[in-house]
Amino acid sequence: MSAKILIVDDSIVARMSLKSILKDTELAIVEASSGEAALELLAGGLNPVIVFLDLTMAGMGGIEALRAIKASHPGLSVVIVTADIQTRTIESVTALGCAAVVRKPPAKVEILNALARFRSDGRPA
Amino acid sequence: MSDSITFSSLELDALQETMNIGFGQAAAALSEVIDLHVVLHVPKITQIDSANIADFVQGEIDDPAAYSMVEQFFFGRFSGTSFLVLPEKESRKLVELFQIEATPERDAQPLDSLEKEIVIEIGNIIIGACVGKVAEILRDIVSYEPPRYITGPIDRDLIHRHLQANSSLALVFKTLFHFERQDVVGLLFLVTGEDSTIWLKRAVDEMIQSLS
Repeated sequence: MSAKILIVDDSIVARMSLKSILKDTELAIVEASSGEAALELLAGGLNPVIVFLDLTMAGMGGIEALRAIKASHPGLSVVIVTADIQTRTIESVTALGCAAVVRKPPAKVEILNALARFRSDGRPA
Repeated sequence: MSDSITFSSLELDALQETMNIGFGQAAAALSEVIDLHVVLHVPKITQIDSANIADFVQGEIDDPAAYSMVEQFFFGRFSGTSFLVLPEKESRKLVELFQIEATPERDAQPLDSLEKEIVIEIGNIIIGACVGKVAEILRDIVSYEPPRYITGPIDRDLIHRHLQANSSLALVFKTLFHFERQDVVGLLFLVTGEDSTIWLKRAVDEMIQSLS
């Protein structure tokens, strides 16, 4: 069974963008359209090697989702993929334990580098 | 809204995501210039009949007399009118970021010319960064008219006059700009014209196809 990546973004197009970048990695991609849905997947036993998480989402925002994920799965790497690139925002998510921040629209090289560097199973992308 | 132009949910999602990135760029641009953190909200896009745009915008403002706005036209294949609507009294909280001292006497007065210039500059930064980023993502280049400060009441008639000046219709993009520490909430609208709407649809279709 292939390792999994969890993509959390309320935008279908943003998820398509990440899937397009990750399509050659041979990793299985699981999508969640909200922070709440992501937490449900994780609580249900999904064990991804990395999470790509948006911040600006309706309902539970990404910061709240990040906080919850790190509380329940402290060893899970979470990469923030966001349009909110203000210094204070980056400081906040870094303090909460995110592995990296990638600005939208995501560059392929940044996503693949983050995957290679932070996937929790330590295998090459 | 022209009868011939309709957007699918996927196209609207692509526009919303593009606008989200544009608003994010605007917030980052502001935070680089002054010590200001903006809480970003999910942008909304509404397809609307041109005759109803002014009503729609006014419907978002609780008290038109209490607001002023910075308006700026932009031109390219992506073209239209942008306006940042702010509560006039609270605009002074933003002005104070430029080291202009607040006093009870000053607070009781309308914004003076220097203060208006500062609010115009804040609007200019937000609008320019947002519109410019959207244009960049969709592979366009836009130019701008100088921004203008417009005092209230920001009501239906005033908005309609300004939209008419640009033959505006079709799509309204809206987001909340919440300046966190100053506790000021503004609304940023971008209203595109029909030609631009046709181009936007084509541009987002190309974007979606490139991801498939």
